[in-house]
Amino acid sequence: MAKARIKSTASVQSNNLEKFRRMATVIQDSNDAITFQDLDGNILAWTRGAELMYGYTEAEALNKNIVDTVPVEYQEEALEFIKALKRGELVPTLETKRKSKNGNIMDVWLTNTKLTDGKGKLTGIATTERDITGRKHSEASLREKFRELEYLREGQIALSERMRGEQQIALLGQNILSHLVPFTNSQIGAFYSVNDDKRLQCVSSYALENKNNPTESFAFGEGLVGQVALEKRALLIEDVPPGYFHKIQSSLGQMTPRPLLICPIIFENQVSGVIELGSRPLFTEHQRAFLTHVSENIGIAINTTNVRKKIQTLLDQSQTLNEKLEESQVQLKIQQAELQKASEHKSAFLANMSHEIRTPLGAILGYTELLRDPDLTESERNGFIDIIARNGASLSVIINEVLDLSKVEAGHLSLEYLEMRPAAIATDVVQLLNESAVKKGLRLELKSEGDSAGSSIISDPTRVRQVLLNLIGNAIKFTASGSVKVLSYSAGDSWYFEVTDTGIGIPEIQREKIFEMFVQADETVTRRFGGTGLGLALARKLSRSLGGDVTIKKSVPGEGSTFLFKIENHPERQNERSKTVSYPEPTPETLKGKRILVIDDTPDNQSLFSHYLTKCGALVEPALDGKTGSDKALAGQYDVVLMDIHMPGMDGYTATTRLREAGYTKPVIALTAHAMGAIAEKCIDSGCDAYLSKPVHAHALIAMVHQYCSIVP
Amino acid sequence: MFEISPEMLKVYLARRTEDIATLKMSLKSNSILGFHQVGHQLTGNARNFGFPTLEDLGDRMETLSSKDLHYCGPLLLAEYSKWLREELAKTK
Repeated sequence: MAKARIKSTASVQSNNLEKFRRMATVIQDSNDAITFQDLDGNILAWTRGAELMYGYTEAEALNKNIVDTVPVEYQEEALEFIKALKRGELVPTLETKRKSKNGNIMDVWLTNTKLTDGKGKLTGIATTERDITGRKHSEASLREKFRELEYLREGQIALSERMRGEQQIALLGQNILSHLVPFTNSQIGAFYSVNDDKRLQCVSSYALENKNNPTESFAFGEGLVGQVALEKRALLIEDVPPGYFHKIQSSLGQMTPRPLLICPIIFENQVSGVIELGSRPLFTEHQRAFLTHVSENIGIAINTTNVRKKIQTLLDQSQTLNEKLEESQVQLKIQQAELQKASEHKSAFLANMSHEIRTPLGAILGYTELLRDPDLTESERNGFIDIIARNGASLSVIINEVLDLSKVEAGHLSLEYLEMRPAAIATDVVQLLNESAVKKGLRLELKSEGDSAGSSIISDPTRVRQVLLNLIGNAIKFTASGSVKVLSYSAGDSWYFEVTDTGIGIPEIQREKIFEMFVQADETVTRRFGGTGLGLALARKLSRSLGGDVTIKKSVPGEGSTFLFKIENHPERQNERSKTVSYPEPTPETLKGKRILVIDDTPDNQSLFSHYLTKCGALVEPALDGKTGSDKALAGQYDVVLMDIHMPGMDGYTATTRLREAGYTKPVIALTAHAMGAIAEKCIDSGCDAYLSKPVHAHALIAMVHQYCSIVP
Repeated sequence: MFEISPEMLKVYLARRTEDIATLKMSLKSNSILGFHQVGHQLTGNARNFGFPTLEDLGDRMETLSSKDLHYCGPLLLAEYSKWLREELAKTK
């Protein structure tokens, strides 16, 4: 039994020895360095792994303290470790640095284990050391990679912020350079964009010495910029010759950059621009990578800017079109409103005109029928005739107004500018209307101010008279009691008439309305006073045709109104026939002894021309048609033939042509109502020497006849 | 120097009664011709005899259209007749 136990104990001991032997082999063969140190750090054991790691042999190591394998900057840490160990405190693991025999510094990971004697007293430590330099380098490399990614990310975000929302390519380029140049540690830069001519145009620059030069453009393949665009590849030139670059300049001085980096900007495989950067230091790999990385984003930004610009242009065009459309719609609405208003006025006018025309027409027709009664007394008959005449006159006024207005509207109103005395016309009109004023119990007064009573101006007396008749007639019509006063005066080149009444007055709101065609102040006025509503419209249009106006100077409802009629003096428009000064004053001797043949079918003209000519000493013979006249001319000895054009039978053209064809050489002067344009030309073509317009002005006739009498053919 | 003598004026006005007859005939025959003829004469010489307003009446006669003859013709005739009556009355 004891023997068996001894055998068993020996077996156990044998097993333990084997176990220790194996463990020692593992320790000795481990790639990690395993060392034993006493409490002072003296090295007690040094494995093969330690030899490989540190380069010291076991023999060399056993003479060293562990502090000898620690770099100087970590020795303090090592000594503190030993002090702590002596106090019984162990740092189980530690990452630190160690120094090999050849001086290499290693990153190491230490695992410490206490060594004790048989009584459990601490005698030293066993340390397993692993070289983690490679791992640390990998970690550093990863961190560097991470920093690069962070650099790219931050740079990209900042660049994107800079590029956001920009609509002008030059400003976009400026923003890009403002970010890229400092970010890549460059000092100068230029930004090229592909223009409409497919050339690379420099649109922005950064800190260039001369900003004019970069405005030049490059074709694809032309220069370095063009070449980069053509090849779609970035170009880095590390050592650019000193004269190549624009200098980097500041107030402190200037320097020449060395490396040049030219990078294409590509969007959807198309070059949309090029960025050129110059730097003093060399470009780092990160910077170059960054540029390559962001070029696509810049390409997108350029494209976005171009698209945005196009969209903005389209929006602007659309906006303009919308505005025009809105304007057209407003105009259309205005026109529609005006048309509607005109239509309403027209309807009202037609209703009113219908009444205004039917009333006198009814009277005329009715009383005409009554006149058929053979039993009427003479007094009754005359009374009916008066009624018919009065209503006829009333109708005539209406029709004349309509015709005049239509002439003005169509621009066919003929004006005859003559020398006239406005005050005299006012006197005539006042005298004419005085009877109707008296019948209503009104005082009609005329006053001419200053020394203008005898003054004359050049205007159309017929139209002035017409306007005055309307204004004064209206004043009488709309005044129940009191007076109508007419004031006539001149100021500067204009003449003024003021017609003031004590009538119904015109409310403020209707003061312009009453000058519109077919409009009266309101319907009650039409019912009370009648009328077509054309008078004032016509008066204003006529006055404006004469270069003046009719306006309301003052009006108070219930108290009366003052109308102001202004006309301007137009000496430059005086008709030729009224320029008496342009003809020499005729005398009884002017045509003395001259024989004049007057060919005119109108006895009135015959007597008139004969009157004018004989007063100047001429001998006049008449002929009442073209045939007789031309026969007389050919047979007789006349100094001048006056030839009417518009004659029954043979007209003036034919008669003149006949005379010329028969070899007649004496002067023939045509007389026609329309001596202008084609008719005047036809007169000359038929053989007339000259022509005069009817009504013929006496002085003009005498002057012309006298002129032709003195021509000896 | 060229004033129209009362005798000439008398003759002139007397001839205007012929115009009235012409216009009446024109209305009766429904022809515009008479109006154009008289209108033409009036525009040609009424002013010379001292009647500028008659020139305007003559213009309206001369430009009268056939379609207006039925309505405007009688009115023009009435206006012309009234004017003539008044002028003849002045000469008496």
